[in-house]
Amino acid sequence: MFQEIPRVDVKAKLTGRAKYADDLQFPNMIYAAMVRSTIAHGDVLSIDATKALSQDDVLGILTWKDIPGLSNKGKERPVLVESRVRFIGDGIAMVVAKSQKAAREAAKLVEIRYQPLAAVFDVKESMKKTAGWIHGRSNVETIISMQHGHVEDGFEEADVIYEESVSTQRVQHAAIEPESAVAVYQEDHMEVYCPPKSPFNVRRVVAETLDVSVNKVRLISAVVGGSFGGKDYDMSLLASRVALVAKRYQKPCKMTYTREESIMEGTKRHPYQIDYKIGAKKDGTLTGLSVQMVSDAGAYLSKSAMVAWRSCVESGGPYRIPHVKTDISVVYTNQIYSDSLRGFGSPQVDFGLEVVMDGLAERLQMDPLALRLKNALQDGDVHATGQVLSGVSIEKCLLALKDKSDYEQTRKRIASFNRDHASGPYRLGFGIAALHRGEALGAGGEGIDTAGVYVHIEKDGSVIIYSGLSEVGQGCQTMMVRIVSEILGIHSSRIRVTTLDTDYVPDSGPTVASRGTVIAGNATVLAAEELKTKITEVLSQKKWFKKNAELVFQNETITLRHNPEVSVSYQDAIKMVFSQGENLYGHGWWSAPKLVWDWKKGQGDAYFNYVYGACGCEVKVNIETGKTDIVRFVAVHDVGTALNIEEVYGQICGGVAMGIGYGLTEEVQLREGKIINDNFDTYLMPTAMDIGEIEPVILQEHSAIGPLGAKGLGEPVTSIVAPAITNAISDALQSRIVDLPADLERVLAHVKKGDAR
Amino acid sequence: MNQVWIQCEDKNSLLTAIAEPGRVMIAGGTDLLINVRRLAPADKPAQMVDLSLVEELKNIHLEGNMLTIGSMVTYTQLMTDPLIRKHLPVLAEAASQVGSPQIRNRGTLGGSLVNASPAADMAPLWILLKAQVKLESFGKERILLVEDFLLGHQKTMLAPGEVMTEIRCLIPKKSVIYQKIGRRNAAAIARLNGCCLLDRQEDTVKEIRLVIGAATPTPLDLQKDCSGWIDKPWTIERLDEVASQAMRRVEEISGRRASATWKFPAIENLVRRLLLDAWAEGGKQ
Repeated sequence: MFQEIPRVDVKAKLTGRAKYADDLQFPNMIYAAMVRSTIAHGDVLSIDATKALSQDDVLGILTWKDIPGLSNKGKERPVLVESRVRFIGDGIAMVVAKSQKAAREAAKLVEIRYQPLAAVFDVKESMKKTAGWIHGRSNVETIISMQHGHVEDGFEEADVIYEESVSTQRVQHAAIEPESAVAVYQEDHMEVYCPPKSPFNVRRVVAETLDVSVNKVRLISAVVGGSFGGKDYDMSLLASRVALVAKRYQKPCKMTYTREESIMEGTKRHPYQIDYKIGAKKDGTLTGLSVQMVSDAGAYLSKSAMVAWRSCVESGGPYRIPHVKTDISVVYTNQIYSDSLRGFGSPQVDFGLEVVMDGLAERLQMDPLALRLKNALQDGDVHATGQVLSGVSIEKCLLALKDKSDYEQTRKRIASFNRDHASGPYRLGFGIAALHRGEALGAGGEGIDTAGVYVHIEKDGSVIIYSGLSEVGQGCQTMMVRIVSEILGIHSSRIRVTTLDTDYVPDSGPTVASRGTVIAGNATVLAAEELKTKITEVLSQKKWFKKNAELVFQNETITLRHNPEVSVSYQDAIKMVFSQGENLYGHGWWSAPKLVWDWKKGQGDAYFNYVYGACGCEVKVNIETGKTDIVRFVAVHDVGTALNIEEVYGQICGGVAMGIGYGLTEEVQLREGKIINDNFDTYLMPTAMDIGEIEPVILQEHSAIGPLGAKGLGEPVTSIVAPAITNAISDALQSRIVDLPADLERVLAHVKKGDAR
Repeated sequence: MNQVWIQCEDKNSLLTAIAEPGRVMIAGGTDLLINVRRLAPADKPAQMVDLSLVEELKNIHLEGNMLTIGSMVTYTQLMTDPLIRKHLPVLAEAASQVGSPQIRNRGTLGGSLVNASPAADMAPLWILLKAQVKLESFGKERILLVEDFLLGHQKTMLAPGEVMTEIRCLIPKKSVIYQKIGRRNAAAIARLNGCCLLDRQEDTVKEIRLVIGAATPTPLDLQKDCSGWIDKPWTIERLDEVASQAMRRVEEISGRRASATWKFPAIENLVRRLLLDAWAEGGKQ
């Protein structure tokens, strides 16, 4: 196990010295505020800004007409709409003023007249529409399929068939930092400061909006106050908006959303409706699975099709199923648009299938863990995508869960509690869920999966890392420090990771898909190895260096492997390199292995690797109120080599906390397209008092492909929290919860259905 | 628009300050500031009078059986006060369930009563305890039962120029049960709450006081609905009767809204639970 490295950004964040975008100040800075659509579907007829413009300190108003470049982006959300608004919150105009307060207050005075159009809020209704589409000539954007074997054969072979319909709700990232961006006009380029999840996409969209080449836009990352998949396309729009103002007035411009604005405009996780049909032999062997899904994309496309593809690929879970048929329809509605949110299509299908597995276990009168173990994928098994798998660790995860949760004893204890307290208000329950998740972008991903990292050794031996991946709070910077420190054998205190600046690093794609560690980590390995080679080359000219000798970089010292007596300090080695006029910059560029997906057949090599996990949850349900308390949550994850064990614990605990919100309380509630719980007083995330005891269990099955054997972890940790909780509640109530969230109302309704009282 | 913030350090200057029309008192502000934020600029109160420095309104004392609590006592103060913890621990327990530590540090008992939210955490307890509030204005004072003070959703008897200075009640002979149902375990607004006091001799009921909150605009006093029990033995049938009576009373007052699917059975369950727990507690001396 590695020595502990403190998070490199922890001190600045804990002391309040970290600079977020809204903390940045520039001389003569002006401010912008949005005027947004108040109707869900329609055309803007007129914009009357007379009142707004007459206010003190107001400088002007900008509309799409002020966009020199692309304003209409087809199915993508425009920076400012030309005419058609598609959800309550679409940006129509910007009011510019000398102060933020003046801009915000004047924005409220802008009067918009609309020609309303019929709006649609329900996916099933939207699919049926024969006219008045949101985009193009159908509200169904696409149907993505996976077909493995012949599902009807699978059902014929089955002794038991179980069908269930499940649904998941719309939730949001709820990062503590709302979106904020500053654009600073420079003579030959535009400088943008913002918290970007996908910095190079933000840069591209700003360039397209301003109608300039990408080298005329420089994005410098501010500290990111939480992303969880947000601050992606939303940030491209916001950065483009401030850049427009900065260009028009030739002054720095800032815009920061209020919490309400952030909730109104920020993308959400796709709500799903899923119909399952699953077949099994009497002994529990799975024979066939049919999954029919509808995803609510909201008003614009963004990454909805890619999210759906991941759902499709992962819909069979970590199980061996010979016949699988999955179809997912991506459907537009006149509501806030959906996009990536920690899991990118995994949480919905993980919830669905894990609920269905418990339902099937009940039909088979089989233990839920035994059913999962019976069908758990093994090395050499064929995945539902047709891919032959290796490095499969789901069985190990399930067995670790069995052991750490004291599975059988726990079940017995709970059964006897419920028997002994039958007249009391509480029921205990225990539920499990299992996970497999494709690493990084995959074959249906957002582009070619590559990243670049530079590592520079300075003359004093200190090191700077330049990375194209964003630190969004996940610990990406510390991960890179770990890798460089391990490979060069130097202390982590020598190393600093610099602020992401698109002028100095190559386009490394988005910070998504739990790809940071694998993709950027591998690029860091290559960069550090290049440095090692450069040092070795210089040292090889020394007399003591025998031909083909191998050097060991460890403890700030470089030694000959076969003669540890011979050594040179890292510091001296660096001096030698520079004294010979050589350089010490290392460059790493890593591309993920090529993957191919046959869209027609719905089969292929979807991901170069899968990660695995298993969770168990004990709940205490009050059958008089419907209130569920998490007693204990055991989260087993195979993380490969843990690059930083404390960070791994942190990721797991944070991910579980977020998943508890998805399971129990969180839901973005819309009425006729308008979000009614638009702040954190009514959008309820779990507090420290609500998360119970979280027990992270770390399995370290070395990854063949990850840097130093590591695997991605950011998203898997949230993905199977909700189903473990609802399976536990179902166990407590003897009635199956199949919809999210399991709030007071839903749980109390199930108390009546079950025989808990 | 300029906003004026007036801070008073004693009761006299406070009474003078609030005698001026159009001024809004801030007694913690945990609800007020959120509400003000949502108002249009023109509707925001121009002048606010802050009560948080008036030390005279932060005392808790006991004389004989009479407990007097200053209106500017915070939830934190209430839940940590030794006198309260010893003589009327249910107040400390209820206070500990309010909001979050930050809200408990700022929020005050007087502020909450004047704010008159139907979901107020402590309100049912004040009704059960038959607590009174003292309202003072320049040169005048009056005392009202909390039951009479609260008129409806954010409506009270507080007249312009008046400030609530004290809450008082008698320490009951029997302990009081309090329960709150929220969507989470902290920073939660009560979906329902309620309290109960039950005195009994052996298996005979001597006194029942029962109040539930967050179901109706002001807390619903169910003492009369329990009166058929007095001097009679405890039966499960009567328990069910009172529980469904509570539900009917709520329906009469608030009607059957969308939330009723959960709320009505939850009210029945809460009433039953409060009575059962109070019955068990009532047997103790």
